[in-house]
Amino acid sequence: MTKFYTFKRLSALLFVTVILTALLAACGDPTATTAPATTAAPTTTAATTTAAPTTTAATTTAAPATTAAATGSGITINVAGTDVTLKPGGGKIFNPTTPTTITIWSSQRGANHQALLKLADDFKATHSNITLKFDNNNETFSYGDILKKLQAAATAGGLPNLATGYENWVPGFVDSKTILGFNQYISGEYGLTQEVLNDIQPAFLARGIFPQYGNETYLFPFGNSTPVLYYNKDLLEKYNIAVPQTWDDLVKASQNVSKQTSNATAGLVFNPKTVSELVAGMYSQGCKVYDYASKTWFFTDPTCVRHLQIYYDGVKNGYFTASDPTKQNDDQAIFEQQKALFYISSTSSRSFIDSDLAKGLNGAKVFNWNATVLPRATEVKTSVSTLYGGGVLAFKGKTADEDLSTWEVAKFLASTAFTAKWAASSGYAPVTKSALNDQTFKDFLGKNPHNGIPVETIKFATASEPKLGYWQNIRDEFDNSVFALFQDQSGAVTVESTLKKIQGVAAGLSK
Amino acid sequence: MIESTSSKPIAATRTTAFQISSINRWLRKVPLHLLLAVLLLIMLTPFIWMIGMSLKPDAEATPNALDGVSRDLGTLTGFFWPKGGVQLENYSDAWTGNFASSGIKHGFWDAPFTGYYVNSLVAAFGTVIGVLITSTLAAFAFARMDFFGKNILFTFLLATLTIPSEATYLPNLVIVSNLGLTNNLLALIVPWTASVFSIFLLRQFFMSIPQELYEAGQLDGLGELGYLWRIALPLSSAAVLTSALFSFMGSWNSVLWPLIASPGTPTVQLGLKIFISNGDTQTQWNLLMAGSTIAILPIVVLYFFVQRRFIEGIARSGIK
Amino acid sequence: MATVQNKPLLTTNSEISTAEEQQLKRRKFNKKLRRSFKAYLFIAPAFIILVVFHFLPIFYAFFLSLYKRISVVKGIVPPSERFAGFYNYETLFNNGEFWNAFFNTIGYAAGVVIIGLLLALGMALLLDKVQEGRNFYRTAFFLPNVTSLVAVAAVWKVMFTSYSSTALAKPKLDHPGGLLNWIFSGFGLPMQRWLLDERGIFNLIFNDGKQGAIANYDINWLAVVLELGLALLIFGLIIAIGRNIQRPQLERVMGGLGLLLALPIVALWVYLMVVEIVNFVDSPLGSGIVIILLLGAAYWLYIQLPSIRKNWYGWASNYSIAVGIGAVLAVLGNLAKGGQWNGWLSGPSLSMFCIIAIAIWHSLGFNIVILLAGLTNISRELYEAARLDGAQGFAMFWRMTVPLLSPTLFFLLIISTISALQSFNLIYAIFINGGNSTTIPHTISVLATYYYQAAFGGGSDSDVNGFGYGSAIVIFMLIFILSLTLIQQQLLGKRVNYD
Repeated sequence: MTKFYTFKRLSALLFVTVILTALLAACGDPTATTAPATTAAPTTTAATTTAAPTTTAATTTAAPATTAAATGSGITINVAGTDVTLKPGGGKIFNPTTPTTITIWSSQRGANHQALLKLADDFKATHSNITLKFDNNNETFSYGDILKKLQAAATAGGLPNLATGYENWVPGFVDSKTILGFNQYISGEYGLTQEVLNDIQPAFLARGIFPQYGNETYLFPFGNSTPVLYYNKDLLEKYNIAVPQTWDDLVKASQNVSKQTSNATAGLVFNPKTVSELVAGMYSQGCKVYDYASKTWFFTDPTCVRHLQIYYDGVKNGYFTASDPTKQNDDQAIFEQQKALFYISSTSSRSFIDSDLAKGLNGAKVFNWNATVLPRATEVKTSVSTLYGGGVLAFKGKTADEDLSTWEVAKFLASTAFTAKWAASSGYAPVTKSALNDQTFKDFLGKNPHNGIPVETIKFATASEPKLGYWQNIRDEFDNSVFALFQDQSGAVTVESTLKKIQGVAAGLSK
Repeated sequence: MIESTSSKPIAATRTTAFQISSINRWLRKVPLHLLLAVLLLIMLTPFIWMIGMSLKPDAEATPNALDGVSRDLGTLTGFFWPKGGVQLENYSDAWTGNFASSGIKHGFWDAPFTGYYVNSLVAAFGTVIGVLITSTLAAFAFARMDFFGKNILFTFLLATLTIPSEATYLPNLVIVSNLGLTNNLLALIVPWTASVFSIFLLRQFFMSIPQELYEAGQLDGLGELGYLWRIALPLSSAAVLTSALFSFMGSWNSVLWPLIASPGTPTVQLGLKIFISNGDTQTQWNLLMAGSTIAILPIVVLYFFVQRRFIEGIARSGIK
Repeated sequence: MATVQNKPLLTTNSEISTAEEQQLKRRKFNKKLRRSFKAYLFIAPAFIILVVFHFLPIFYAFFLSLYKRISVVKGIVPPSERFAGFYNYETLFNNGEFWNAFFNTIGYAAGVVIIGLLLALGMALLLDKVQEGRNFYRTAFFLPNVTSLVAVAAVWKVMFTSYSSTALAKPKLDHPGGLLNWIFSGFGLPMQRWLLDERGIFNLIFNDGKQGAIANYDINWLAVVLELGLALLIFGLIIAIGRNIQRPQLERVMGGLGLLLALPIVALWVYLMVVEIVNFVDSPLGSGIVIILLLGAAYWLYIQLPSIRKNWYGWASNYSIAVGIGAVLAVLGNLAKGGQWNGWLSGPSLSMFCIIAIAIWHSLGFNIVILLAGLTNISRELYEAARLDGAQGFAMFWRMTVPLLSPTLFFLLIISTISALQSFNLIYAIFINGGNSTTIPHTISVLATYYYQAAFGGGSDSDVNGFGYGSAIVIFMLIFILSLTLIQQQLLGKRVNYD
């Protein structure tokens, strides 16, 4: 009996020990079990980041509203109405003397994430002492998740060095003094030379500059996209409709097609809860939305009202259709099922439309489609749209060397050597103009006619959503109020009253 | 029944009487069973759809496969079950993250889901072991020992039940990071290794064990721990299983804490997100449902293994 | 004790005994102290974890709630220039979104607890009647409870898919959306927009969902009702006092007096109600429901006639009080409509109703299992005894089952109220988990999700967001839940029948 008990006790002890060891082993090294293999060695050695471009692509330099003038000592960029000058720096490469690990939280998934890991190896060639750690091993982060985690980490500790994010995240971190400004690094010893500054798309730089914080740069370009108008080429030809240039064209085309098909096919499909699409449309109507200097909002401006009115009339008369906001990308699904002629979405959607159609998801069949810049107001000459896609935010590290290393990574992510390949694999618009002449990128453009969409349309993306911390609160109000407008059958809620309500909330928050 | 046993009928009539009465009784129960079956069907409809969708081929995998004009049975069965043959690969595709859009193929071992599963399993088992150790000891003290402040401490336990766990996330993050546990599976385990519910449940069971057994154990030279291990725990296996499964569920099904506490160690619930929005593609419903099925499978399997004891344990928890 | 008795009686007996008793007490005390240390060792692991990770955080949250947007990256204490006193609480109580979330939480909890418990009780009574297959049913009904809400949320979204995401678009038969609309249209009922519909369900039932029909209903009869209600309440109280005085004559006099005053008012009130209901209800379904309710009430009064005749003053007082309370509640509800929360009269929004339905589906099994255990615990002999006393049917249920089941019901009430007030995962899984752009609709934002959005939402210069503000919400939640639990204990705990 005693023998039996001893045996039992021993085996129980053994069991507990095994479990505990397994636990400790699993906890001690979380990456051991979860890291995806990054086997592919870099095939090309990275060109140094200082390599100045010899030619600039002439076709893409003409950005309508945001202009950059090379003054010899830095560049002057128009940021929301005011001119901001960025001074050039030395352009040296910094490699810390002690090994430094730079942690990055990125929202890239799937093939994009793999491509990013591969390209990060190029960084090693010039920065032997910097190790890049992507804390996104299993690709579960969305932008929303990253914000939540950054908020938590800003309070409790554990911030990464870099994170992908949007401009309206910045104010909160400026408030908590955890964010790192880029200006001192841009014009510092290891900064951007005059050539490099000239080479980066000015609108991308302008997006990261904050007029309310002494023109500090808090968001550095990484991969940008812009909303474009996708259209069903086959159906347009079938109903003999031209690609719309203005919103009036689009409305007429929609009315036309829904009349011909007796409402079976709609003109535009849209998600009734995407603020970004409506705000981009408001910019394209010539509405200013927000003025930083006077802190005024323009939601009740006739140009803004006109835009929402188009959507309201469209829904009410059945030639626009609203998708289900609780299902991810339901608007895209409706476009792919050819139940709508037009669909407004980011340029990065194009590869997903291709792959969805190829796989026949949701019963979709392959058809001819293309995309063009957002329609404009009839009286305006060029279209304006907003920049989509995230930039990178940097956070303060423990030492000055660590912060410099962080800067080196940010600089690398915006360099031609990186951005050409990154744009080729992710479908974002490249950050620099010289990347357009890069062979990898040219090959990529030749592969699929749809690959040119981002390059052709990004030059119109000269606006960005208001860079305010409470922009999210206004978005939420916008979201709920506009959705309520589409639900009202009695006519008690009007476009004007909706925008007035949003204007009221926005003005209240701006005080 | 009472009549038939009290009287003395001959064997033959007795059996027929018994048969008739049992058939009668059975017939009387038929409407009740029908009603229960219908209710059961309603309760289980989501699961039926979930499994059906997880087996559908891509072309059929659209959530709104119902047509209001044609109301035949085919439309309805088509909603619940694939017409064009079962596509079992959905499960392997879901596991290895082989989406229409991703363009990458993982093997089994480096698949994202393997990572989620390992993380979730380690976190869940760690939590269960922790909860069992702490709750057994505390429950024993509250059930069998007499000490100062027992009532106050017990009220304190009751009070902790009212703390919403979301409320503790942020302060806990500060605490956990000060203990150096962030970005580590321990962050998903340590804060949840005490459960008030388990302490209550085990206490109920321990209190129902006759005092004499404890005293006999004392006489035999068993210490408190010996009594716990050899007598109390074996007699309360239902409570132990119930506590274990509840802790397992709590850990396995939690969402927000793993998201903010541990970026490097995603769990299954977080992993499910990539099925809902994999980039800008539309949701691949068949893969999403295959993933969801995989995600609830461990708990359902565990539940079926221990269900009788488990339900007995829960049932006892409601009786004071 | 024996030694004490052997002492001579002359000595001061009491002194010695107290000394010895004290010694004995001390010895006992020491023994208990020693045992206590052992017990403390046993409870230490659990308590250390609970204190460090559950109790301490609450104090810490309170501490954080006194600061504006905070960062404590370098330690535990935020920089002192961020100290804000009770500023966060002030902002909180002046914020309409917060009050909206608060009332939604109460509505959600009331729905989940009341409907959930009633359904579970019904199912448990059914299951109590079957012997064969009971285990199977029990196991199967419990299944939803073990599954994660994140995994099943997508399924429910599909079941609840609406015919269109805007009410402006007309429903098309070939586009019913989800299973529920398919069934609805099959029965000729109007298709709904379920999770997307922010209109109140009473509005949908009684007014075909016409915007503002109930929420903006201009009820000037409310003033009248309020006065009538108060008057009725007073008369009812007079009658009730008359009843409780235990003097039959005085009782009848006061009952008669109260009734005399109350009757014309009740008549006026009934007349007003009928007129208003006729004006108010504007849909075939709503009219049907009202007619059925009225007929039901009339039938019920008819079968209660003998009892009313026997004890008319009792009935009069009970009904006066009930109607009075109802009127006061209705008026309070419509006062609330002036604020952010538009109108209790239109009921919970359809989207909230769907969320409640899913929550009930998820928790039903747990309630059934516990209630069933409670039911089987009631001994059969008690039932037999009651049956011999002539009790049967509803009376048996009401006078026997409910009191004997009350401890179980009370336990479930407390548990499910607490968990309903803390509810987060379901709404998170349905509305946030999907992507970046979805926000939680106004009508289903509850305290926990409001906390989540405020604490982890966008960065802000306006102090409406951030962890200081979020912590204030959390502290409010805790105080609210704690006090509600205490009130439940005080009000109902005493009525519970522990045998």
